[in-house]
Amino acid sequence: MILVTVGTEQFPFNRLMRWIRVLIDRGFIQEEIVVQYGSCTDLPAGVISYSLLAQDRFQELIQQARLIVGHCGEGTVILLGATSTPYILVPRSQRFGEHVDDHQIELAVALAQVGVPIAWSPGDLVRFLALPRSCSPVTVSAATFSQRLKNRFG
Amino acid sequence: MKIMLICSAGGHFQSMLEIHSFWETHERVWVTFPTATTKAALEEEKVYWAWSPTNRNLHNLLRNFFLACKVLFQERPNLVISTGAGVAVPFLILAKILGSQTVFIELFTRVEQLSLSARLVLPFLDALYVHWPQLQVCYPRAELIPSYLKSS
Repeated sequence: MILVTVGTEQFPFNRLMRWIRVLIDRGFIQEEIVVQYGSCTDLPAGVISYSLLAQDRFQELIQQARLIVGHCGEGTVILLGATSTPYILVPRSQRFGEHVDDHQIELAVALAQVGVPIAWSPGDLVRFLALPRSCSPVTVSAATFSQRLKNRFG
Repeated sequence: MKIMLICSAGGHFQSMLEIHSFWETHERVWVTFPTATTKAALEEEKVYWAWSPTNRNLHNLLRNFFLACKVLFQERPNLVISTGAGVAVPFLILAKILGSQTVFIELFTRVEQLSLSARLVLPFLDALYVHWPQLQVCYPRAELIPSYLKSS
């Protein structure tokens, strides 16, 4: 099963949904797909879809998934730092009305440099789907930072 | 110390939960958006629900401004801390004027440019934290969070 998630963002990310549709239509994806589609309005046929999943159900699906396809947002990046499931990230772009600016593209460029699988096109998606990679890209030392806040502010 | 925690839902909220070991020992109130996730996670917490969406939305900015007036006068926090985004702008500005300490933590997803929210509140902050060295270089007032990347 492949889990596709695009966060709680108020802007749709229909471009990714269309990429998934093309991959299904061309036979590159033949397994079950579960989509948490947020504000998307153009979903591919034949997928199991939820606007927003409850947290525990979402965690269950992450455990079950063979692969996660996510947008390049904070929640997704935190999530992927905590799971060993292989994943692919697709950045939202301002040009297509998918976010207020291009920070997801900047992040994707930076993450690509340390080996995180980033899909810039449907072709990249096909390539990573065929050869999923497990990658623990991000370890934000939240505990260290919390301690620093404590030292400074009490 | 009394802390006010302000953030949008989604990644902004997750990012605030990440630093729970800082805020969980203090008296605190939350300001965020009502979603299934935030409602479940904050069941036992004191929460003021803010208006969304805030992206370039003047109407909700005004409503959140009035909410900020009400909540800040009622709660009088010593420290107001935010992980973004737009909802934090009226709260941080007013909090600074009313004498609270103010902190903005930029998300990990901000690599080369500060968010619009961070740029708006910058003059009203006691501390601004960022995750990426290339961002800190552009804003010398910003402090770098010791996070690191590894690939496997």
